[in-house]
Amino acid sequence: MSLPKLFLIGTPSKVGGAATKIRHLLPLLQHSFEITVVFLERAWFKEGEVMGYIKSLGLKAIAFEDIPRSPGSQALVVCEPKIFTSGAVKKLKTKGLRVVFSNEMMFPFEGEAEAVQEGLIDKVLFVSDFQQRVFSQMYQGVSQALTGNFVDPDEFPFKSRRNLVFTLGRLSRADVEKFPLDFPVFYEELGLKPVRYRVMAWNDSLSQAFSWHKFGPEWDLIPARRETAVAFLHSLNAFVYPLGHRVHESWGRSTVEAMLTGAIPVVPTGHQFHNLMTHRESGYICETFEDFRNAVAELHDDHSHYTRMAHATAEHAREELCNPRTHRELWETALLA
Amino acid sequence: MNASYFYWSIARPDQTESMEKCVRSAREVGVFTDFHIVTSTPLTDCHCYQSQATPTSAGLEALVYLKGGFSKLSQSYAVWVSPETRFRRAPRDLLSLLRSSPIHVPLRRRQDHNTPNRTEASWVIFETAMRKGGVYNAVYQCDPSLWIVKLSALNTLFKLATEFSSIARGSGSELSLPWVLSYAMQMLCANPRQHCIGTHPEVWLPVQDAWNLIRTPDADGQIAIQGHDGRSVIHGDPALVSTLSRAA
Repeated sequence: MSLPKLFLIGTPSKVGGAATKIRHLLPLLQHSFEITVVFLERAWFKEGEVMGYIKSLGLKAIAFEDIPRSPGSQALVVCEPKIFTSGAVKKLKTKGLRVVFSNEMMFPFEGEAEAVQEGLIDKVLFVSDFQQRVFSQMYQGVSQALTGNFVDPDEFPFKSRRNLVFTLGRLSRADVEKFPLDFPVFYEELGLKPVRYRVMAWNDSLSQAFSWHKFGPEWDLIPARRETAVAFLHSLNAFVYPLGHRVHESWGRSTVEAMLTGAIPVVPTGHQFHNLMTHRESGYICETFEDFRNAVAELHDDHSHYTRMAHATAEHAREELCNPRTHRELWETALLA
Repeated sequence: MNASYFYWSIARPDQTESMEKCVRSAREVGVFTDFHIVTSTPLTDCHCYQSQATPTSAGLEALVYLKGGFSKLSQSYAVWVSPETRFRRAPRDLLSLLRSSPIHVPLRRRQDHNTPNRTEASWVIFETAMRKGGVYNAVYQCDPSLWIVKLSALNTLFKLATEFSSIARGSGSELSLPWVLSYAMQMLCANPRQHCIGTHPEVWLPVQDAWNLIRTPDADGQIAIQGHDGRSVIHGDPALVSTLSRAA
């Protein structure tokens, strides 16, 4: 029996939430669909790591222009803003494809609303009810599904930490908006001693934004890709993730990756982290700075509590958030219904 | 903390005498740090700058003077002192008030309802604006009689001032310098409790009258200066005192 065809438009690279999502979706769905990866830009064919990964799964990649006419097949577009601005979304329809779009962000892309109005999107996928609410008006009347986010647990194995110095840090794209304006003060005011702070990814814009702060030797500010995500997360005892006051986290991929490895998340309330963890069992959801400080103090001061919680956090992520069977069923229902 | 700073202020015509007394009190206790004063009348023993406009009650022109003029000075920090400030001795580590934040504005808990300065309605507007602006901790007022900013963080301060101005205007409220500083402080300090009045009573305290200090026994029975944050008495032996000002 042949599998339903799925053209997955996006890039399975190791950098960025959407790219990583695609990377993990491919092996999850490849036994349910006949998947073809589609690049909007031909430059990706020259990326050895990306092409090697696609090949290792026994899949093929084609350029957007080479999509054959395929009535009734699915085109899954994951967080590709150019699909709208380039007019590519219209071309998908002319090839007879059913367009399924997953935005991943908390804001619409340029041309997305117009595409919805023109009926070019057949189904929209959301990563959280939090995100779904934000887009509820724009996607009124369009078929919808909540697919969440899948992180392949085998890519982020648990590791028992043996850090000589308690280490806290965060993993996110190097976007100033993602950081609270008092970011370095926030970490230092947590009051841990001795302590090590590790941040990836860091860049010149962040250095500029926090140029008023003198970063001492306890800080490791690491550019993107200097370490693999898993190696970086293995170096952390706690994943302390204060966010910029204008940012709404749609899901929290790096938080789940951290949880899988046993780095305990300490996150703010007001996003959708409550769907990812149970407070004080598999992480901490903090309302005030005092809550943040108490949480890291508890982890720092009580090693047996820390160890227990690290295992519980990883177990929760593995069983509840990143169960491949559950996610496969969710995606099959979303794409085939 | 080994870094350089200057004192600055704006003296309205009715404050020039106080300002001169403030500077004189500093010199008398061996403080020879520069004072930069915006004033319409020349004052002795400090750098004076002709005010460009009549100071407003909102006080926001202070930020313009700071950015447009004083940020060009060679020091790293600007320390605002209100004209109603008195030096009792040279402060030993004034910049320790900053902790690791680029700004220090003395914060205070909300005053009791319906004080002469602040009504319940204006507090609600203020608190709502602070929440809209991203303050997630308990909201504090401030006493900007003495505040410090690291000059390399001026752009951040101005960004916050602009953002809060827009929010406050949207709430239909009149904006004031204490409101703006209170917002900036709470966005840049992580832990507001560390910046509350009374955290460093050996450095600075607001008092009922800086020139007629009240001395009373503290909790240990020692005679101490009686400070006041508008809500409660704080005892200490501060290097600087300022007459209690209107809270944000």
